[in-house]
Amino acid sequence: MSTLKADTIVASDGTSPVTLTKQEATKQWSSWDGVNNDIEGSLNVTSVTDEETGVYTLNITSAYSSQHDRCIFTTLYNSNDDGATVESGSARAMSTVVVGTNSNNTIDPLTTTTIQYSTAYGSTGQSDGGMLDLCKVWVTSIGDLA
Amino acid sequence: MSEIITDKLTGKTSAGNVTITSEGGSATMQLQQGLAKVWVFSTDDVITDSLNTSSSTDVSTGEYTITLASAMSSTNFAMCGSVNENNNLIVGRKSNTTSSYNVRIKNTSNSGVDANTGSSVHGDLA
Repeated sequence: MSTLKADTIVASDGTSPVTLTKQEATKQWSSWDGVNNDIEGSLNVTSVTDEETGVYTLNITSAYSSQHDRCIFTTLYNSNDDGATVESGSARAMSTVVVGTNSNNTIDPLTTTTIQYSTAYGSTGQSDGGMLDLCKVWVTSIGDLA
Repeated sequence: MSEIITDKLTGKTSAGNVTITSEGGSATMQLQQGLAKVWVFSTDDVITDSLNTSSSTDVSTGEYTITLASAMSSTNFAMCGSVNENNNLIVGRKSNTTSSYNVRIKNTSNSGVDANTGSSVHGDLA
């Protein structure tokens, strides 16, 4: 088996990115504790700003080339109910994580260096889907960097 | 176009660190950190196809434990997933270690439901 040892790989022109055939690397991922406002692990993340209860702005270190041409994935976990995504004692549906929406249900403009996301209760006829902080929110994004 | 044919890439200075240039040319990033470390598609608790998994265990209705072949370096990795059926939504992981994570699926009434799922893990391998 041959092994190529190098610290940096670029295209033959010396500057352009090298082609990874049929592969696309993840450009950002983060594990966010919204209760304690703590980034537990991350790639290409400078900070996460706690805007208000359940609303956060993720600040990206190396910018994307476009504010729109990227794919963002999210998943959450609520330890208050051993993983079920409702608050203990509430008969609500699942909590949700939404990209780009704040507590006023308005969408902040996307930028190449930020992702705003929010976490909320599930809702029923009696209880609305108000914002809440959750202890685990994972945000991953893929696209072209600048 | 030049092409290098090899079976293995290793960092020269640090074996686990190879830097690549961004698409726009203005940034660099570590190749290893950007690669998905796990991806798995499961039909209920049965793994249909995957990368870096050794097994899937049916814990209860709507909850499966995915065990990794090569462990992560810490428990603070990012996981994302989705459900491949109507009317069900994936919740995420109930608990995790460096070598496993639990996928939970709930319907809109917050009840566990067995369903086809896809999930992936991003972070650092041990």
